[in-house]
Amino acid sequence: MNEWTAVDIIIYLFIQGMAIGSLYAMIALGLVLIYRTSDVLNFSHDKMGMISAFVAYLLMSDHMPKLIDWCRGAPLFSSMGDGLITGLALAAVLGLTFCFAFLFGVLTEFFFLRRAKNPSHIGYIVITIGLWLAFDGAASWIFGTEYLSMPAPLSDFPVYHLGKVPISQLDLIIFAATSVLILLLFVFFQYTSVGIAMRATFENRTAARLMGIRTRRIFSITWGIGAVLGAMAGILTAARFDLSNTMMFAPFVKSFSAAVLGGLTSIPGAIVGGWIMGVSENFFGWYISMKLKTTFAFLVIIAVLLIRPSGLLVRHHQKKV
Amino acid sequence: MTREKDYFQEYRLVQDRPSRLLLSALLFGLVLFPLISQGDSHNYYVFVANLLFINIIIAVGYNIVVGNTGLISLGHSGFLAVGAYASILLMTKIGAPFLVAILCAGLVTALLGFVVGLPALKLEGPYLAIATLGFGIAVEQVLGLFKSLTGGRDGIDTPPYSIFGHVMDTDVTLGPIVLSSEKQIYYVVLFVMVLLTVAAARMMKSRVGRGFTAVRDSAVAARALGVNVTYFKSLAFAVSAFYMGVAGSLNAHMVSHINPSQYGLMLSITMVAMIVVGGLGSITGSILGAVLFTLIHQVLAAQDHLNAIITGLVMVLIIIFEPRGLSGVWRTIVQSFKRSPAVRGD
Repeated sequence: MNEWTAVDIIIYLFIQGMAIGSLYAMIALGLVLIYRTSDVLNFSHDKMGMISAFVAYLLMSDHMPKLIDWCRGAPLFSSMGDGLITGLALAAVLGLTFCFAFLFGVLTEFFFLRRAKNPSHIGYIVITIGLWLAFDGAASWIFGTEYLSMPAPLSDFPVYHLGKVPISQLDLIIFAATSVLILLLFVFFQYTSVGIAMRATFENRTAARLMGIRTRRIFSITWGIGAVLGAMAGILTAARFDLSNTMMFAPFVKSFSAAVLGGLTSIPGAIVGGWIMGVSENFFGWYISMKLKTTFAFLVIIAVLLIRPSGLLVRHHQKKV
Repeated sequence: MTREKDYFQEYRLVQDRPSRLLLSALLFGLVLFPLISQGDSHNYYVFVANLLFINIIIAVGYNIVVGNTGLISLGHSGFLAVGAYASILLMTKIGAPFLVAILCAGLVTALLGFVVGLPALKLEGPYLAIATLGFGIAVEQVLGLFKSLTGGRDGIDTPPYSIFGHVMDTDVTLGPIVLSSEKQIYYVVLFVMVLLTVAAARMMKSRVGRGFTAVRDSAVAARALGVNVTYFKSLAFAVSAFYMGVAGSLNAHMVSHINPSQYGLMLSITMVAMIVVGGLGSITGSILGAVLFTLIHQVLAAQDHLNAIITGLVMVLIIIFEPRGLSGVWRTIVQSFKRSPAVRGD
């Protein structure tokens, strides 16, 4: 590192920050999506993502080699190259994991959130904190508490170089995945009927219901989609750091702050907040203090909230009487 | 009498003569308990009782800000840590007497609570939750950082309880009764607990308590009626931080060593669990919640994951089935008992 110029360091910190920030953004997106539609601040989001990542891990380590072997023997696939087969198998595993995550989200909403009579903000927060604890306990019971690393296609990513600055392929993947997600969500909310129904539910629940939107079903779907976003983030977090039952907590707290920074009801806010968070904490960590990184993150949040109480991209509504 | 809460009913600690008798009997029993239970193995039960009393102080104080004033704070573990470290440093660096150190720790924490409460004037709901959560995490990190003062991540040794020059780390023999150090601590903690609980109950009945409730129920309406919302929000944070500071230092001096990581998010979550399951805004509820979770933690101390699962599910189920918490259950039982023909004499 001694030959690096100041510009190199800045580029390096910026790229790293954007990659981590994209991860934060992805987690924050799931949170914001759920919060917008159903008014629930999902504290258990990180544990749900972690559990899905473990499911992906188990599928990959137990079933993917068999699947690949089977593909090599099958007449249809045998003509394909090894790389393609591995890619297809990975896609199958991820598809299954996302199905699991979707169901997980839907069932969580159905069994725990929907049952609450007349809940307040505190009530919802307490339910999801309770779920956080319960999921945490269940996961450490079932999956253990050791640190694992993801199996083959999701580990040991090649490193590219931009001048002197190394860029991991994984960081590019994270960045690309988040960009694709942004596009998909935009299309989803603008052009699909479910997306429009979600927006309507967010705007005014009663009116949406009167217009014939099945708001309860919308809540379930939102939770499902949120859980899938959490699962994606969970798998990427596991690939970038390592897989354990506490792996997602630190990124989760940061993305929570990112969501608050951008405004809890704003989807662009979640993304911008995530990026700001990732880049700024990286610069702070490098130039000022590594150990106070998290503390700094929260000071920024509190400072921003004091100026804009509903986040950067959301107009603050004074409660009317 | 409806099931809805009536303000004075809600905050009356002792509701009628039977419960007053019951409470006196309970207190009497608590005073006698360490005297009756002799032997080394019973020191463990006394220790658990001490933990329980400290948890009651925590729950009562935390309930003031969350249950009574309606401000969600997820950073109260930070106040406990500040209280603990403040009194330790006061005793070891300045040589302050134990009682002074505890009181000062409470006051320092209250001052900090006032400052932390300032963002609460503008933020609400989830935004406040995340800001206070950040405060809790920041305290834990900062304490781990200043190695020279706080011992860093390794923690710090705590001086034992001492009152008027008597250090409570050896047995005291009073005629036939041997009081171990746990039992001496027991009386100190019991006294402080009763004092602070009664103080909270009286405060809730006073103008201040009504101010808190007014702010919780509708800040706008309260302001329109001339309640100084700013003042009461900050005051709620300061008062509850005072409770945390005292509880934190009582706890720190009871164990011989503390480190920053024990004041993490888990502690804040346990606090939430205690007051929500016990009953938001109810002192009886705070006590019941503290009892329940102290016991759960002790019984399941060896099985971490089971502890987490049960605590979590209890939180979820109580919100789903009885949002008023255990104190709601208790009130329902008492009322159905009062309504029964046998009691009314019909």
